[in-house]
Amino acid sequence: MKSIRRRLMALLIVPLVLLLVVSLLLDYRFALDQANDAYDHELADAAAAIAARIRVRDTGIEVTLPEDVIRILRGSGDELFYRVIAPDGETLAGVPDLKPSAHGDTLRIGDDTLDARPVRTAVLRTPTSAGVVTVVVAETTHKRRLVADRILFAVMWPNLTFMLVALVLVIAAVSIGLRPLRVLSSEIEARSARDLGLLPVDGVPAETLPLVTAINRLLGRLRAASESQQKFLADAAHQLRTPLAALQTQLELAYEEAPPAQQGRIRQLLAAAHRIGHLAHQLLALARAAPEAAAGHDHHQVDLPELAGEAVSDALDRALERGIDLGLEAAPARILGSTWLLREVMSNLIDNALTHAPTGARVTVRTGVEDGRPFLEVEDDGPGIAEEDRERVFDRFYRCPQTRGPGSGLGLAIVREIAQLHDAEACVHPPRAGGRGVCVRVKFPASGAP
Amino acid sequence: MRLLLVEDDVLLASGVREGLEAQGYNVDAIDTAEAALTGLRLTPYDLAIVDIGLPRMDGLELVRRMRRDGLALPVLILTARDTLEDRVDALELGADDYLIKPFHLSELVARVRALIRRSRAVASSLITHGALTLDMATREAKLGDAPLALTGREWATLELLLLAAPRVVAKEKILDSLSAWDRELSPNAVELYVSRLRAKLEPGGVRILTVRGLGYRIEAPAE
Repeated sequence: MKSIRRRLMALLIVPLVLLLVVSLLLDYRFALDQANDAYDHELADAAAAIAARIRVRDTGIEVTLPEDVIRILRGSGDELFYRVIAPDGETLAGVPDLKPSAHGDTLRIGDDTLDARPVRTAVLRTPTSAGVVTVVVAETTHKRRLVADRILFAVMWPNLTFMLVALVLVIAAVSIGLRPLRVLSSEIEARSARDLGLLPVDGVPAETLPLVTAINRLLGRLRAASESQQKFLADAAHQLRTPLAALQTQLELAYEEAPPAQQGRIRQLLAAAHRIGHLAHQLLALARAAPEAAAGHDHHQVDLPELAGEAVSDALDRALERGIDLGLEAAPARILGSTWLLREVMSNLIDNALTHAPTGARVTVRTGVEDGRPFLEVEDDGPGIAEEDRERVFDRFYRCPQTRGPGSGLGLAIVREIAQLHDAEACVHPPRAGGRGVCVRVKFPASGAP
Repeated sequence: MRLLLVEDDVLLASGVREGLEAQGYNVDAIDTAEAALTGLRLTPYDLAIVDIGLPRMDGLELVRRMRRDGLALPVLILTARDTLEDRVDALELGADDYLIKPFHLSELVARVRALIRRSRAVASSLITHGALTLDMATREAKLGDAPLALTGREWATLELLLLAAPRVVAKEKILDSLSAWDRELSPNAVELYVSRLRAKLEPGGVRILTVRGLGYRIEAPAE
């Protein structure tokens, strides 16, 4: 993944390190040259001292170097070699291996090797009456290396310290500089998927303002779409339900007034009207639970036992009518969610159980916390669901092959849709106690627990 | 017993009116909130049934104004919306109960009856339920014409059940209420009082239903 932070670091740190390395090298060179100059002077002085001992006699050119002079010359700890060369090229004194490097200048100082060892040489051409005598002095580089090491050491520490300080400063600066971006992204990350509120624009740096503004525009559009969806659904609910209520009421009155011969027919009409009403309700619930309309739901702390109690209470008459023992086993459980959508989950699960369980069955609504996850479930001891149907029952309009009687096949689809909106899972299990029947469980994420 | 129905759907209004009239209530049906406010000023209604989705001024606003004007009559809201927000709005504005469309006429009648019973209990301290009558002022109970002897805890339990009907009363709620007498009361004690009440009420045809894991509900009297 591309990272602005890494990019900035690379762009700042690499040139900085290169600069510091170059600076280190330059410092080193400069200090070394200074030190070398001083030693070169000494070497030149040595050559001059030897040249001063050259005498031109009738017998030829003579060089006398007493031991003490040699000792003084060698006093610096390095080995010192010399060679005095007559104008005709004959070695007058010293080591014959030493070669005068080049011709020309009076004094020339340079690097050379002697017996494969690096040496510093000074070549002095001194004119005598017998011609130009060349004095070559060579010195091993031990003390120079010693000084070079000391200088390198002395130069390196401040430079390395600078480098470390600069690195720390760069990293800190990049982090501080990118903080607004980090704040922005963590703010976006911390939002729930349902939160379509605008991002704060105050204190946003000019560079990210266009981004934030664009996100806000998008959020605004999403919210508007979601709100108009909610509005449409509310209107649709009203437009559908009022005539349905009128139809149902009129049919109920007609049933009371009708002669017995027609009551059967009216009862069927009433049943159909109920089914339409129920279906309309379910379709609306499904549409409302859809993600595109989800932004309209506020999420609050929801007490599942309380919700379950209300749902059982509401379904009691239907259960009594069908001769089903409807009960509650509520353990404390709280989640963050939309109360009315969760009520929809409860009523659909209970409704489902009451529809499919036979007379005399036992339907139990449970709430609680299991493995840290709040859950709600509805269990019946009815005929159960075949293994291969356990996933398909959550499909819209799917009805098990053996199912008869009323039912739209939407109830469990609504349950799953709403569960997903709460990051929860809806699954079909065998009953807890074993045996026949179905247990439909909705497990909420652990973070929803208090 | 005079009821005001504020509903703009003609077919639904006529159906509800007839259904309630068949139960012996007098019903005035009005189709706007503005006309309803005038009617409420002129007639002392015992209860108002108000649809939320009225043209111009909506039902919620009507309830708000009724309460502002000091009208204390019970209000049952009819709504085509089932979201929690509408319900909370309605109850916060002063409605006493709400019913989502479409509904059974029998459900509507039961809610109306319960609201009237509760409001009369406040007004005249008299609660009636089938053959059962509780006089809150004299603390005398009657089953039919015979006086009914109830202990303090039995009375408290019965009162809770009657005022909540047709809703279920949670066992914990009864327990909390009885604990005012007795600090240490076990859930079994509630079962004991309920079973004693059952025995006393059974002859008058008043039944108490046990809802497993939840509580008790006093059953609607047979008409």
